[in-house]
Amino acid sequence: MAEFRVVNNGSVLVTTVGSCVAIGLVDPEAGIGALGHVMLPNHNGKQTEIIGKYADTAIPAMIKEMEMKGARKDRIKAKIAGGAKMFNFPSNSFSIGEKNIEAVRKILKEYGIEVLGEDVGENYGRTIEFHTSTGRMVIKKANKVLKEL
Amino acid sequence: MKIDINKLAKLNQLAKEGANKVAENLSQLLGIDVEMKITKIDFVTLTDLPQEIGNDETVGIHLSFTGLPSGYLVVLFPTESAKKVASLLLQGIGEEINDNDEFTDMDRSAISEVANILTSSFIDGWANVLKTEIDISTPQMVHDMGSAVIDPILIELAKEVDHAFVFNSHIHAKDKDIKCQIYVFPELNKLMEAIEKL
Repeated sequence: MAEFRVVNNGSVLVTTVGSCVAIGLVDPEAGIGALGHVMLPNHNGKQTEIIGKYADTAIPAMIKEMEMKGARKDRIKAKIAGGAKMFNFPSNSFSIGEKNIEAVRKILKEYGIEVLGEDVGENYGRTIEFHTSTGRMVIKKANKVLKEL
Repeated sequence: MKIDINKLAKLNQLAKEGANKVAENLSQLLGIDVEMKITKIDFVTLTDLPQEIGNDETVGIHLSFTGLPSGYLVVLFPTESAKKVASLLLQGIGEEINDNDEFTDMDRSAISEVANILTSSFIDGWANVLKTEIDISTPQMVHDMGSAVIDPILIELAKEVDHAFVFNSHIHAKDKDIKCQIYVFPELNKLMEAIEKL
């Protein structure tokens, strides 16, 4: 949570999200992949040491680290999952899942990164396995595979 | 922030009072012995909590409270324990027991009812110690992986802070092996204000 990993060794990265969003990035040619788990859309000028926490700080940092390892931005593709509405509080503040999804899509678009697959929204948590060399994303709920992107 | 050391004892009293009330009410409601096993006050990094809670299937009951102090409260039952709670309650009123893995509407309403009583008794325990009025929202139930159950509350807290003060209590009914955990995240400044007023 509020973290990301960038790897070039083909490992499978795993995280579990509810209203948070998991962002998988891959440059399959370079064999470099990354998985991020963001909690909130924007840092809004707030100082934080946790850059993986916000979509608008995590995504640029993930891309930068991928480039440092040899990836090329024009080859990077994305898959995203999560952003569920886990329960209905009367206040709107808990539709944060939707806000997270919108922010992630917008930022990826700004960087010209195509989103190849999404499994977002609904009202359940997801465990995400991201295969960093191929960009395959497996979505599980309580150890049962729900979907592959 | 300056805190009178004598008032800190009140924090311990708060931690115990809330959880004791829950144990007492759960015991009355289900007609079994219930004990408060551990209660502690922690200062945590929010993002560490999902790992602590894990991914096992969990029934979570969330609510927010406002007043002195305000904050969030989460009750977590392992799925098996939630099923036992529903069975005990429904048995008590002569309803048929559901042996399936999924929760029926009747189970859900039984668990929500228990959650209503547990959460309001916890907050009553606090209001008694602090001599303040605390309002609570309607509890919401969610059944999912533990870390996904807690994540909306962590997100809400993370809008303002990276670390938080948490009261964590474990409650155990030994005979039936029913367990539950209560996490309470009070807004720190308001909590201290309430304690200073004592």
